[in-house]
Amino acid sequence: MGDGEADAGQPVHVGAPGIWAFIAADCAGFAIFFLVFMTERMKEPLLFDASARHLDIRLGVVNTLILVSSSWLVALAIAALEKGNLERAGRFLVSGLVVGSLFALFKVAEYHAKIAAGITPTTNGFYSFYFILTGVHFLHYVIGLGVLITMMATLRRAKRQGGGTEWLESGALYWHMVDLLWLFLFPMLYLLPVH
Amino acid sequence: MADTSIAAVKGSNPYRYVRACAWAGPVLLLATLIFWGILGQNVPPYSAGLDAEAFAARVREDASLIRIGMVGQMTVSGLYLVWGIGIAKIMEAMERDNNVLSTIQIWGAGFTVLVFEIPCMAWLAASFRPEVMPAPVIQMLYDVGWLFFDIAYLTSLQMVPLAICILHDRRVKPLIPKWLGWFTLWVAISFLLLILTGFFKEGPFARTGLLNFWIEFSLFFYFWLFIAIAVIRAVSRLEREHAEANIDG
Repeated sequence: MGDGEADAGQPVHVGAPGIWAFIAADCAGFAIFFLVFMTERMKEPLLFDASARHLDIRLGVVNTLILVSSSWLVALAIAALEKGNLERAGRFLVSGLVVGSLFALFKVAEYHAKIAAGITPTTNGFYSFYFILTGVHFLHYVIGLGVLITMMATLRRAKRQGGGTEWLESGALYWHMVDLLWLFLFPMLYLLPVH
Repeated sequence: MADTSIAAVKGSNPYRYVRACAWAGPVLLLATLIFWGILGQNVPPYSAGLDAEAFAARVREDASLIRIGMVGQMTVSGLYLVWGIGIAKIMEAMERDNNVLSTIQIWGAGFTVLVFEIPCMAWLAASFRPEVMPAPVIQMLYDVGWLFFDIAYLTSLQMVPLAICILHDRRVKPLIPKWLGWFTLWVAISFLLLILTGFFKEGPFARTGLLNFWIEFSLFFYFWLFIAIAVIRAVSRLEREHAEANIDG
């Protein structure tokens, strides 16, 4: 078709620039979430504080450390990639995925303990937010694991055939965002009532 | 070459009717705001937190307007599929290997027609003879409509392939801006939050709530508007490129 194929074959930077639109929209969405949470919290501060005290801060701390470490490993992978060391980038990426996947173990254990104790999203306003906010974050996290696996596949292909690594930086940015959002969620849900 | 496809026939116009399809989007958007939104009393809708009697009283009071709105919406909603065909023609110009993405997008647009038709039928039924209908039945018909409207995860079938297609466009100046691809992808994922309307009757996550109605649900209309503008501009560009290629040839 005569539909502008002339510029269709040239290599262009496909992924990275645009993902900022996604990250900005997503962070704005979470910011609204946080705002609504704080507003609802002001209506029932005692209930929210009492409920928050039932959350296990130790689990929250462990999961924070897991995500920060995983994010750091993925950053190291991108740094290695920029130096052209694909082998090293691959190793860091795998480590990032292994460390990052521990988050799911602790999170699921935490959900299980809450539900076993009869605490569900409809128990009260605080727990609605707790389950929904951490649930939406968990959804982002699961997508992030998929992104890391796709990044590993892209890297393997690049090692064999060369080229095609533009998307890796976008993937890493997404994974940092998952980490960043947790860094807001954790103090807001777990630490706020601790004076 | 033995290329006998319609596009290859000298003097043919592969973009005939496409502009009309592209305009079906914004036309339906405007009609939806009037029929479904204003006349249908859906901005914001009646709260799921009202008791049945209070709920029914609101419907009985507004029944005539709701009927006009719902009949109007059911009449025009098929245009969403027509718009989807217009979008598919733009996507075909970006697709490199096959037409899988544009095909899924068309089905997603087609199913979205049902997301309008079925709930509007339920709301029309509720406003058809509300004066003799028991209040809980009116409320139930409204719930049926809203649960389908909010939770049927069908429009995302249109959004996700469209977003992927936009992001894979390899033109130096993309046909549709990349940020819009990312935005569309984000809206599609965000729609998952609407499942919460199946669990909450009041508060920010209810179907009339701050998060799920004013923010989450309104994103659909922003997606609709932004993509509508981008698609019309893309049609103009493709027509121009086609005309230039014909002169060169």
